Amino acid sequence: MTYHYNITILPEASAKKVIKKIAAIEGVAVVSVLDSINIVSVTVEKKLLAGVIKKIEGVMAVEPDSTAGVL
Amino acid sequence: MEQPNNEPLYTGRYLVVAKPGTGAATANSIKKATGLNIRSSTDFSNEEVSAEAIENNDGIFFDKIGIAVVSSSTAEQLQSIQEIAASTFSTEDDAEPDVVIEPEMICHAIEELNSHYLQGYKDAVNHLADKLSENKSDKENSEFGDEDASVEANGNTWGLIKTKTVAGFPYSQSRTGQGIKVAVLDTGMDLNHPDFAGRTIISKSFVPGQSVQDLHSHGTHCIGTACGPLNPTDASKPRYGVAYKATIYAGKVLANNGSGQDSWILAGINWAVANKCHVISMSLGARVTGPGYSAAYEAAAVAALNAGCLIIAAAGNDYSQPVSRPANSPSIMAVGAVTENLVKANFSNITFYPPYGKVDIAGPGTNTLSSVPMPAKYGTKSGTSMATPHVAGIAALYAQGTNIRGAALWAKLTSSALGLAQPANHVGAGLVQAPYKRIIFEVPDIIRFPVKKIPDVKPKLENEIKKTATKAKSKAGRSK
Repeated sequence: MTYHYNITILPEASAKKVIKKIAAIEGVAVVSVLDSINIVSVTVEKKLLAGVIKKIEGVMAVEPDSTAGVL
Repeated sequence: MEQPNNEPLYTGRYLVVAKPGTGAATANSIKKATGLNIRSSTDFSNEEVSAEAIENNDGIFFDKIGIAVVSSSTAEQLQSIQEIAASTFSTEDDAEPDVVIEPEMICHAIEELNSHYLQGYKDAVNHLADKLSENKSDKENSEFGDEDASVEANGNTWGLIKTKTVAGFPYSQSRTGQGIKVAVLDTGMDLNHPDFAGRTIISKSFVPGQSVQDLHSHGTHCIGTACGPLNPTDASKPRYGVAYKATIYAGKVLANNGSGQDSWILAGINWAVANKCHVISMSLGARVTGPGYSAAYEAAAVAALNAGCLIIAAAGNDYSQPVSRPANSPSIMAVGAVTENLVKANFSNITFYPPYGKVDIAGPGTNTLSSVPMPAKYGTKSGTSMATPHVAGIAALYAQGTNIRGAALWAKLTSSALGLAQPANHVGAGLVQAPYKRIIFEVPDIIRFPVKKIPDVKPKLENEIKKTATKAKSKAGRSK
């Protein structure tokens, strides 16, 4: 089972370096990199890995991927 | 700070707004730090706190709504209150503190215009219209290259009329959205719909395993309102689309069952920004479970604004609940819905106190006719989803031929909105209005009266005065 998170990178941080650090964590897979809006989607094998990602310098927020619908 | 008529804008008191459940503790902290005598509304019979009680106490804490009205007599006291507020960030990631302080404002009733004046104005306009109907000429400068004065044959939806997208005499609205890229992130689009034949449509699906083709109908409906044609192919249908010459970016971020993941929606936003779209319309959302907003959506919206792209999203249909996510992000324009009578639609969400999202503007959101996938072709829907593409399409009209983008476009939309007799927390700045113009007429010869030179009457008057004075003198002499 994997869990999906959306990671917001600080605009002033080097997105490349931050993504490299995230991708290096064991049990974390980068799903997509949204260059224009500084966001990275990842899947993690354990929820506690979200806390590990949050501690990386340049990471603004780590939020679980939730659902939206038509209004 | 004072209003133009020199009436004060603020009372000198402050409102201390706390998160639910933390108000009493906040009031106590302020009491301890400042020595102010802050009483609770529970001290009063039936919690009926009179204006006198507010005047005669340093502060009143309204227990049921978690808000305190505080009079700080010294700068030190105010500073202490501000320090308490600043220390109430729940976590390091919080963008807003738990406690917010704002100056108490004075509200004024809106005066009604004199009905005789309005009747006189109406009569004058009607009279002019009758007289000049054969002599009208639009004198506006045509600064927007591709204006189109084509007339729709089959009428217009009520939404287009009330927003003055189609403006009747004595107004005109001729912008089309030409040259503006509008992204609609939704359930996709019926790419074979005849009303969009020949249009430039760029599409992409972000939903795994599903094509852009809309098997739900919501996306096709929203695209129809924002960018539908001037003349629908069915001659019996009215015009329903706002920016009928805009370039359409149809991003499928919700699956055919009507729901989607944040990651798909964020991918859609990224795609639209990367493609230099000017406007993103998102008739989607999720009910919020508490105050605050998503850091990801806010960051995306800020990045979009910086790139000249305005994100407009539906406030949600939870019957006066707080604004849905992601419209609750401060940098996303949240759209509420109004009915044809220009009152808040009963389902439309509203602005709650600061930690929640804010309704920024309203659009037509009930009984909205637009395109739906074939073979049905047309359908009527209601929701803040329907209000949102009205605003998005109108944003495209304002952007056309101008440099108004991003935050400036936001300001243009809200500053030009039609004020409604509805609370601002229901409809924001009011009903979105298209960039209509007033038609200016040349004055016809028929009302250019010849003016004669008024003769100089001064010598004649002086003569009359002398005569009268002489008569009076001789009369006085005789009576002696």
